[in-house]
Amino acid sequence: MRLFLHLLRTDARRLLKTPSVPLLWLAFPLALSLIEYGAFGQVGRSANGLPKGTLLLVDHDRTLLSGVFAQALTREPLSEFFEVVRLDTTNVFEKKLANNDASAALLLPAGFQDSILAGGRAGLTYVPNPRQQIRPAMIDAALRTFLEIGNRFLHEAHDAMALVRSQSQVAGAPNRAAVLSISAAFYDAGQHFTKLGALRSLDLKVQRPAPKPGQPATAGDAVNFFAYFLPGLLLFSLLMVSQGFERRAFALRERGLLRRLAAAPVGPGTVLASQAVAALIAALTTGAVILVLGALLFKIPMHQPLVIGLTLVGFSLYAVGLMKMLYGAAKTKRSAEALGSVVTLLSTLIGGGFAPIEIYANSVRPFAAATPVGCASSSMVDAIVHNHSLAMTAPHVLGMWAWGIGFCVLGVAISWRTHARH
Amino acid sequence: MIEVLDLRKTYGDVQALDGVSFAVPEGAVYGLLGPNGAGKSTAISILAGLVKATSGRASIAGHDVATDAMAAKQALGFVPQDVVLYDELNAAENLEFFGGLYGLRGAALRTRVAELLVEIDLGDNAKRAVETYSGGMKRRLNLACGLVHRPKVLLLDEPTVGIDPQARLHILEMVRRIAREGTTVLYTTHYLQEAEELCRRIAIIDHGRILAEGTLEELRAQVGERDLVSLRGRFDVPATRQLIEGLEGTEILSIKEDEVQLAMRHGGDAFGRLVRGLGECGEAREINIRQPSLENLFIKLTGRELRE
Repeated sequence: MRLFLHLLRTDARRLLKTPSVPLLWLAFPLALSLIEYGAFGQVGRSANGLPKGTLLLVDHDRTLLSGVFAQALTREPLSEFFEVVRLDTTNVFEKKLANNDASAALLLPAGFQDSILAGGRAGLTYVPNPRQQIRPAMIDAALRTFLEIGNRFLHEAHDAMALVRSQSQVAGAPNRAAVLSISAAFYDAGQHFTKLGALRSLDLKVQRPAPKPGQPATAGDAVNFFAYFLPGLLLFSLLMVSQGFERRAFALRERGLLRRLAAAPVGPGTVLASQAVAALIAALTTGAVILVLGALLFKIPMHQPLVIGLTLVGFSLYAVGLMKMLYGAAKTKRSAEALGSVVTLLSTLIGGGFAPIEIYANSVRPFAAATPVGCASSSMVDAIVHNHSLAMTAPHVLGMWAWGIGFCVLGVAISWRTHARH
Repeated sequence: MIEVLDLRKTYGDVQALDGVSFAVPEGAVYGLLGPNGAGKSTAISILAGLVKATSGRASIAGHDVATDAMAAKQALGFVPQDVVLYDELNAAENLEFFGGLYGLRGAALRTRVAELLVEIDLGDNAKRAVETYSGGMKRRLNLACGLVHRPKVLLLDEPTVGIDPQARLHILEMVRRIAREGTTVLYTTHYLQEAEELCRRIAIIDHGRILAEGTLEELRAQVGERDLVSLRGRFDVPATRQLIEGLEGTEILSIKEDEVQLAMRHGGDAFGRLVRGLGECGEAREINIRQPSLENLFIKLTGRELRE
């Protein structure tokens, strides 16, 4: 045990002397995470769980009525769908849309107030961001509903607007009678409009079932799409870390370290165990760091920690065993590198590491889910995204452990043989 | 301290060791001299417990390397031919690592490491990563790593391969000092000069067999007071053989169409007759005459030069 700890301590010391190595192991999956996360955009989330868009408002009119209109856009329920960013200069919006800083722009033309007061049409211009699909469509729909209501109100307030219009053409301040008539006209319009608002009596109450196993994972109330990808990136990272460790061990083997250790009073089992445990600790640490970053940076809720933990350990065993086997069997470093990289990429690809197995074709899905990466990614997605309990994910977790133990035994056996040969 | 008795090792059809026996007393430096592939490394590997012998027996400090391997390894320091160190670690950390493998720890380990760093002249560079060291510095550290636990027996597998003369001298001096302190050293090399300078006894090994064994004087006596004559050119082998066999005090060591090696006694007219007769047996383009030495013996025993 003392020698085992001595070897382990030396491995840790070597790793600390070259911090760039573990940082590189972490950097790759994190870079991938950021890229994938960036692909979804920095999604603000509303209380109803829908992603919020950003609407650029360019007011060419700059009148009282255009200001009231803009103000109305920032109130509920519209604010549930988008937030309004008012622009002072008119040319900036195109640049902002090009930079993907907003979902759409709404242009209020000069003469907006005059057209409304004149009872004419006021044409608004809506410019969706071509680089986004869903959010511009959501804003479009919300705006159309809002304008429908606005048009209805304007229709009901036709008499009041006519009074305002005629009063605005008279020089001097309006007299008491004029103000009263305008107020009365708006009151009547309001009454008519309120009758339309009787629809409010038909209240639609949304009742969401309480979270339970089988439901999608949410951040706030929204489905967190990135939760589907995090397990794959994590598993890929574990394979990379294990390969990195085995690569270092292989380099030492090539330089004759195994031979020198074999001449010392240290059993081959102690050497192999220390190497395997060092790789296992590194893999588990990397996994834990990625999960914590996922929870903190990407707001992924870590449901079912037991399932996640068991899968993490099982897959780490598999990753360490797989790399021990490949590097133990390989005769040259080049063949080991090539084999390790190809197996890592292919198994991750097939097993749903880069895209959730759920989107695979039915014919492929059972096979993919039975592979080591498939078992692990399925159980992690089930736990993180669908909040499945250990009982529900047991087949995948057990499958993962079977792969893990099997490959660990195989890897150690082949490494033992290699060790003996050296 | 080292005993090897009728050691044999076969790899498939290849007989790497064929009944090798020798013994090295405590505090002696014993040279195992032979060309590449002669069986030196196999012998060392068996003694270090890296390879199992097919038959025969080997022991280190009284411990059989096959049946009492851990005790034998504990008594053994092994310095491989290649530099095997952790490049990321510094000299002190490397020494601590290898010392730790043999059970040293705490103050005893630190004291021993400090002592060795001074011995190998790396005291000022002890905190630098090994990857920044020169080849000679690495070699010295490589040797020191085999000495941390003060082994009773030290196996040195060609420790001076590929280093500059100054570093080589440093290592040879270290080996002498180690031996003076009572450590038994088995030194394999294919540098004759090193064997002549260092070793109390030398075994010449080739094709897995010890061809000659003894002190330097004993081995030189086997060559006799004869010069080694080496002829290069183009020769009619039967005619040349006939010519040389007719020369008094001359012995053919090897004869090929392009090279002839022979041992020739001083004095007499044998050399003159050889030169005259060669004109009828072929064409000699180069003639070398060397004084009696270990190399002469090696060529006599193996029929080839050591560098081959």
